[in-house]
Amino acid sequence: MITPNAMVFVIDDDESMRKSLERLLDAAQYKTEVFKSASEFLSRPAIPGLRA
Amino acid sequence: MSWVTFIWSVLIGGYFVIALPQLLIWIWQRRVPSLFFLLACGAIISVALSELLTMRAHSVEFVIEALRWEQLAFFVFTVALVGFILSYLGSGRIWLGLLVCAARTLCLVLNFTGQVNLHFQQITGLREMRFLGETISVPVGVISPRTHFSELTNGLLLVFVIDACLTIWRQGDRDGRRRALVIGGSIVAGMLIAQSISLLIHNQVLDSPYLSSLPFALIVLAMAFEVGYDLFVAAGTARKLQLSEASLRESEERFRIVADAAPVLIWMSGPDKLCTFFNKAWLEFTGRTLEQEMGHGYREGLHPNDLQRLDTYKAAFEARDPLIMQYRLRRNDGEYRWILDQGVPRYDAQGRFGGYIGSCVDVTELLKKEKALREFEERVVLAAEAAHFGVWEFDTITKRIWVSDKVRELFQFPLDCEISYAEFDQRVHPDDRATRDQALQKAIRAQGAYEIEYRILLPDGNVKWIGGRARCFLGEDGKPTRLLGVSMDITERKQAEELFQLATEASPSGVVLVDHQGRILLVNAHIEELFGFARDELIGKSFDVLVPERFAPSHFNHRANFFAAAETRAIGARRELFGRRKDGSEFRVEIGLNPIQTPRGLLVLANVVDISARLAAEERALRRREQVELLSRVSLLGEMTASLAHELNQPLAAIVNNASAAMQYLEQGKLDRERLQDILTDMAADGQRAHDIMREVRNAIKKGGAIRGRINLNDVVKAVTHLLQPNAAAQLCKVEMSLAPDLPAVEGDPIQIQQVLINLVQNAFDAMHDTSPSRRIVEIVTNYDGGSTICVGVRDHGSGILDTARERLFEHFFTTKEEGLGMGLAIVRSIVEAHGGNIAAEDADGGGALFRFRLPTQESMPQ
Repeated sequence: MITPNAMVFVIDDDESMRKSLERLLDAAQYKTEVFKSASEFLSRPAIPGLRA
Repeated sequence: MSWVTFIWSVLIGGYFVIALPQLLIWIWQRRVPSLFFLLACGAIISVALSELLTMRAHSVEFVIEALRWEQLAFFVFTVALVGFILSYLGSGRIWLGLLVCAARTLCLVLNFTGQVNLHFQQITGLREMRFLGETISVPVGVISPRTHFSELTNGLLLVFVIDACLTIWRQGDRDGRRRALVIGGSIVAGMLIAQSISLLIHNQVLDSPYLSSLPFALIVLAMAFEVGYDLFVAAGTARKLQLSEASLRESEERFRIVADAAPVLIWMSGPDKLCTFFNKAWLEFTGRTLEQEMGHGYREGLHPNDLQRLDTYKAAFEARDPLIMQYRLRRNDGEYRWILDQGVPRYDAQGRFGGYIGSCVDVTELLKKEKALREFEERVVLAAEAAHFGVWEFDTITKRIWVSDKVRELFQFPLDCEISYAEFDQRVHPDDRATRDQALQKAIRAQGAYEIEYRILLPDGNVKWIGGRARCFLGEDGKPTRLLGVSMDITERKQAEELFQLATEASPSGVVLVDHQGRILLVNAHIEELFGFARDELIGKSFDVLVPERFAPSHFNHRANFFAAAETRAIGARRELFGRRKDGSEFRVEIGLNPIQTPRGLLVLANVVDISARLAAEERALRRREQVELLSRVSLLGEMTASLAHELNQPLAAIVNNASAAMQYLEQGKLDRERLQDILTDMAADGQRAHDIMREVRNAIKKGGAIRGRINLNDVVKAVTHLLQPNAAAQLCKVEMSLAPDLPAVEGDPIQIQQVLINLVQNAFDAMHDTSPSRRIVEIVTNYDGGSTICVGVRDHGSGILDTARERLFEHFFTTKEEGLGMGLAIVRSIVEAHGGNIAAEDADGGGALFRFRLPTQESMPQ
């Protein structure tokens, strides 16, 4: 079962793909954060409690 | 008054009077009737004298002698009558006349052989009686039966005379009838009266002496009247003659006036050959007087060398023939001029020859012209000889032929002998003799010209071709009399023609030689094969028979244009040209036209090629190329599958995500109007994106429909790099671009050029399977050196090109890949070449393969 308000990171180079995923996850009540690429994601400030 | 003596004396004297003029006439003119008249006169004088003497005789012996000799006078009288009838009347049966004379001769014989004479057996005495107031003696005796001979003779004479007069009478001539009546009537009457008196005396009915001279006087007077009448008529005739002579003189005068007015010189001569008349024109010409010229005087004006020519006149004169002669005559200015003199004998109304009359013309100028003409002809001959023409002239009447030296040379005749036409004809090749002869005869008949080519057979066995032209000329009488012709040696030309024919026959294409009117002069065997016509069916016909009717008018115009500006060119390259076979079927042709300047004018040599086979091959090649292209597009699609799947997947997945999200918002009641709008907008955009991708794919594989346009190759490189990014990622390859700035455009089909690059780049990816991922780099380079081509290079870092593969790299169905169709590079090359470019492959420095293709810039493309 998915825990509500859990954070989902989305990395996709296709903008519409990112956008549609973000929207879908939002509808499923997930918190999301989207990135164009892996390097963009990696350069994000660390999130506490996230296991790499 | 002694009447007997008076009358008889008067009679005798009268006879003498009328006989005398006839005697003179006879002496002058020897007219036969006059002679007989004189004889008759002499006889009648004798008879009268005898009668007179008998009447006045006193002795029986004298009377006997007188009567006996009197019979001789009767004989003469009878003969004279017969002669007169025959000669004067011109009639009477000669045999009857001779019979009368013979009978009278017999009487004469009986007269001299009997006892006394023809009438008396014996005379016993003389009886005196009164007669016309005078006493005369009459013999008395026994009448002899021989006297009947005399009567018979007189009867015969009457028959002769009556017959002769009736003959004349029947002729119906008025003058003749008068003569017959006068002569015949007087003779018959005189004879009958004399005979009646004799019979009456014999039968003692009448007592009278024999009186013959009185009735016979009737006859002599009649004869005298007739011959006198002739004299009278002759006198009248003479008068008339005088008158007519006067009119003759008058007409001669008139003639002289006319002759003087005539512009020609006229002369006349008498029967003695001496000239009697020269007209004014003559006298003015010679500047001499008529008196000087008369007789032989004119000879002084003749050129001394031409006096001999008068023999013509003398000879013609003797023969009374017309004459034509030519001589030089001195003109009044001292110059000798050539005179053409034509003379004819002249006769008067009675047909008597009166000499000659002639007319003369100064022909000096004419002769000069003739001479000039001859000289001109000589020059023509010289010119012709110089041009290697032989000249000949043929007299159609005498069949004599004259040939120039060149003809002798051509026909190999000796230079100095006469040539007969037969010899000339003999030289002509037997096969050509009839043709040549026909042409010649036709020219003579039609008074025209001919042009022929024939062979001659020379004595040395060689055969020469002769080209001949001749024209028929008319003589003075308007009849064709001579043929003037030239001959030349055309052997070389004929040989060249043969060579030309051989070459034509050997030509691999159909050859037609056409004149400027479009008439076919020559075709080769290929044409016969192509069109199905026999050669004979084409020669002389219009070229149009080889062209379908629907093209005929335009063909005519094309031909006219071509002859107006003749140059070698090919037709049918741009337009569709069709040939028409004999059976009406058509086929595509290509025709090369070559104008040829010939002595016959501009001719056109047309090379006809049947291109239907070539067109069919081209058609097949085109179809195959299309099939190959289709295949290539399909194969390209295969190669793009990964990329396509990825490309399509993303918008489709996005749509699905958006749709799911929308449904969840709806369930949660959180789908407000604004959110729905956002979601639908994104879905629509993604749907559009998927659609665009599919359209691109469809375009790429759509058959045919090449679109040409301006292409920037740098743009194509960028698009392909983008397009193949997924493939590159999947195969861990990197694409590096090195693009030249300011690249000029090329012209072509952008999708096809894109296809080339896709092929090459995909190949590059594939080639680097075994290369370490860090070195899996494909470099795409565009280059422009400022020239007419742009170079695009695709370099990989794979294993390079296998030596065994290098040569066949670009062939269809050749591949080194396990899953490849072997279409890629073959299509690449055909596309590059279709764009006027080329492609090559080589091993690159530092390993790997380098494919470079060049395309012409748009500026350098032929428009």
